[in-house]
Amino acid sequence: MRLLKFALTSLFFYLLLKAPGFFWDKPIPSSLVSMYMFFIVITVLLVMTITDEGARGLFAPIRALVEDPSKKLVRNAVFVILPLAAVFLAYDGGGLKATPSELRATHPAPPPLTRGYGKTFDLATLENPFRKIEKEDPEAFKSLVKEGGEVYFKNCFFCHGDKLDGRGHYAHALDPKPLPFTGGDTIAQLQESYVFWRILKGGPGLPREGGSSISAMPAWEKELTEEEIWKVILFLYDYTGNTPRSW
Amino acid sequence: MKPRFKSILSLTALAALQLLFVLPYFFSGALAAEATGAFGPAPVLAAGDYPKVTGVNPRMFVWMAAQMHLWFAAFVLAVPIFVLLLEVVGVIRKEKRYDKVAYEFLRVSLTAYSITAITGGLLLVGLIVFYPDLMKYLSSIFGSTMLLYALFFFVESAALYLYYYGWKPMSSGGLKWAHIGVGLLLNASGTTLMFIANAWVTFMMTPAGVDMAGVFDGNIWHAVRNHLWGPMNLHRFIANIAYGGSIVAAYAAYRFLGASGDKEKAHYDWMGYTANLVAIGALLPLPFAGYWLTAEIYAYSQQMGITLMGGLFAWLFIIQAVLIGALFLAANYYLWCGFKRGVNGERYLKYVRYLAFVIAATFLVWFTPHTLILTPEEASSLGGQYHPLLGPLGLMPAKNIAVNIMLLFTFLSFLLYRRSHRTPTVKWARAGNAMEAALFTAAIANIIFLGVYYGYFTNSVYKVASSVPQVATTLFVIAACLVIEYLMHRNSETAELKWGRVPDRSQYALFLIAVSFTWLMGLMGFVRSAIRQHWHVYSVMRDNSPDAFTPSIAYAAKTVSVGTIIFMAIVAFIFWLSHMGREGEADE
Amino acid sequence: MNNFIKVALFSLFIIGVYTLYSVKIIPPITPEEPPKEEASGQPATVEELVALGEQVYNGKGACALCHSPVAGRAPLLENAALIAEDRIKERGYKGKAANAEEYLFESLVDPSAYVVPGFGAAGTKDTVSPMPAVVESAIGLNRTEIDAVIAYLQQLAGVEVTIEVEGLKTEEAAR
Repeated sequence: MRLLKFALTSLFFYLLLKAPGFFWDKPIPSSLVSMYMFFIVITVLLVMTITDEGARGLFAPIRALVEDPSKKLVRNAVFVILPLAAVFLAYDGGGLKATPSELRATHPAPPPLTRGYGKTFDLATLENPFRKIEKEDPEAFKSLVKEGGEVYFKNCFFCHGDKLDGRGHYAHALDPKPLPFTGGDTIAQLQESYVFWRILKGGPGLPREGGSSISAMPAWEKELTEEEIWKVILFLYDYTGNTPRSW
Repeated sequence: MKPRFKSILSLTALAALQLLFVLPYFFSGALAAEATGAFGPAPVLAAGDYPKVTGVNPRMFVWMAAQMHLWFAAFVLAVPIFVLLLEVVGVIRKEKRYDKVAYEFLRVSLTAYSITAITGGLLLVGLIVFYPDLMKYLSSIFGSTMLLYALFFFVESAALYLYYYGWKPMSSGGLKWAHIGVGLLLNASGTTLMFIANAWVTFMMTPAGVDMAGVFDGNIWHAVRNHLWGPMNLHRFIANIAYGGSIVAAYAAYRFLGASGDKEKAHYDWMGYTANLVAIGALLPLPFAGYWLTAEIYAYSQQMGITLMGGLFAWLFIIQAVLIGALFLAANYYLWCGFKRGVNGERYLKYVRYLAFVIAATFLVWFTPHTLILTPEEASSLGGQYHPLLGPLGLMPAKNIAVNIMLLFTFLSFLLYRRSHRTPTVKWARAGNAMEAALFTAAIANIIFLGVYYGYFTNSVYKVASSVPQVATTLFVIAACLVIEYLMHRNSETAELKWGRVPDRSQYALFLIAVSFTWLMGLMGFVRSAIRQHWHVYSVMRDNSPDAFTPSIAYAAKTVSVGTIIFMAIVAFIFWLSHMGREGEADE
Repeated sequence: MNNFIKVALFSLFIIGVYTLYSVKIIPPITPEEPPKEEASGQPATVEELVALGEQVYNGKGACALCHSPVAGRAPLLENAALIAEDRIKERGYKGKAANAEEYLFESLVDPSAYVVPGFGAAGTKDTVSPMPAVVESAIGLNRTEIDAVIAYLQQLAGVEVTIEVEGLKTEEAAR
């Protein structure tokens, strides 16, 4: 059963490549796995067909399936199942369901400095001027958050959603999708200065690796005041229960 | 007069006519410069200065013509080297079969020679029609070398015909040596032709002998000896031999598949094996010539170097890695299939899987890119563009380790193949085997240590430097093992190799090697030319035509594929022609 | 099957795989357009000058090729205009610049006048810069473009743009 051996060897290497994904949550990218497997399968095939006996042994079951009169039943079954499987795959969408691969960095490195409102902001040291009020005067802070909420629902919620989950009315039409603020992956990982830069400069202000040409996010510096941006940032963190990264 | 002879004459006349027709044009620039006694600056062109022909894309026309010319020229230059070597070996060993194969190939190269001249004429016409100002500027500098080129072209043609038609009349005694002398002249003039043409091409990349505005200082040697001329000459010379070998091997493979008897089969099997050995042997030093070429590009302009190795073209080198990996895999497969030619081959078959495992593993490391292509889900679970396991494999040190080990194991396949038909009988055979094993182990340990230690644990200055001792280790092991093998197998029991005892499948490996070589030459030729970006003559004369943009890799790959198919079709036609011609000869 | 057809199909398959790999698998990257030959007229305002500088910096001047965190071949320039003041006061400084703007100009047209420690060409102990002078062949910036780049660097660092714009000057004079 050299055919079985061939299939098992290939499967073994496939599982080996998948292991980092299963056990460690660090999957080897599928684009690379398919490349690796392409060459692994070919190498295994080459090794198993060096001699004529080997090659015959490997292909004997396939040959028998097609030619052997005694295998008529199996043959008919296979020739029905294979097209049906293909039909199902096509119907199911097959590989097309996966999001296309891209080289875009979601959160690219920010520039050290950015300009807006006639001044230069140093993103390494920039802080939210309202953040300190949170401890000094919780009541005043609450009203600031509320004002930020108004800014959000006048400007942002169309794309980022009323639950801040990135699923606003327009979201389905956009690619890349608007990011959610909920969850631990986005603003929870970022400093407020980074979020400020993103709102200020929007998609056009992204460096090239961030895909500046495909992001639909507008640059808000012409629409919002500096204070409004800081307030809406307060709201984003407050509503989602995230705390800004401070280091 | 024989009809075949007549057709060859007419083709030569055609080629010569083309030259006569276009040469005066070349010299007009040079003569004008001499008449005024001064060289002007490079012309500054506008989009309107480029003639347009409806329905023809000028760059594509010139690109295709140049690529065809280059492929045929590589073939035409390489085959006489081969033929001469075979003839000399035949004389020394006093074996007729070498002479027979040599003659068979010369016949093929005769037709290819005409086509090289035709494609060269096509390229020239394309350049003059579509880029007249560039050609005027270049000919004002290189006019005298163009005259030299024409001269050597006629010398080469004369030598080729004398060599071919003198084969039978000059086949014995002192005349044979005179004939070999003619072959030498043929090769010398052919190689000189290539060196002259290389000067023009490399001048466009790394101009020398001109100032910033492109004013020529009048000394032709300055312009010829620019930065890339030396490395380009070496690189193309070696690559031509490898390429010629691969095409000859593919031809033999095709004849093997169609062979009617065991004797014919054995003959073409032997021919394919020998040609392939030459091809792979010439491939091994090619990376070093390539390193030299790249180093000179960096030395000339760091900007040009980064354009080549980083950014846009970085992925092109991943493609190159894939192709060369496939090439090595195919070459090894061919060797493994050949184990059965020897009586003892069976006993080594069981090691093939381990050899294959190592070669495949190093291959996978070799083409692992540093920046991974991720789906958004993968990107979020990795938290970035890099993988903790694969990241280090994407860097240069890992690739250097991989390629050296790949070379060593390919060599191991070759050693096992050689042992498939002989058994050492010297007393110290066991010690010799142990010594070779120890050499391999030590070399691999050394290569890995050098790569890991200098590559990942020291600063970047040593990263590149560590590749030199790694390569030295590999070369040393190969040389040392060959010496041990030679001593060990003196007076050994040598069984005759059973040529022809290989499966048909193995011959497809030879086709893959020939196709991969052709395609790779096209692609690397593209990048060599593309790093000039929007310049005709880098930094001196700007390309302001609508085609000045740098095409993407995908566009280039498609172009190269179409070119490869056309080229392969013409080659198949030439072989068919020569086959027909010989059948006619048999009838006479 | 005829051997010729078999071999032809095999070769076409190989070429097809290579093409597919190059076209579909590796990421499509579109090369940048060739840089514009000449600046579009004399910049009239500081904003236009800075915009031109940014264009030259990323395009014709090819500065970003080396001065980037990815390449790591040359110092980053985000703060260059800011720390230029300190550079000319350093003991190792042997150049002729008297102020930050002159220092930037000098670094552009004569890169080896002062080499930031650690960024010299290999084996020269930081006495020779690997950077080409921007007025030379492959880059060949004119005076306006050099001024624009300096203005851009000053803007980038957040310091006052000291480069004077011709048009602006005459306008002020008219007032």
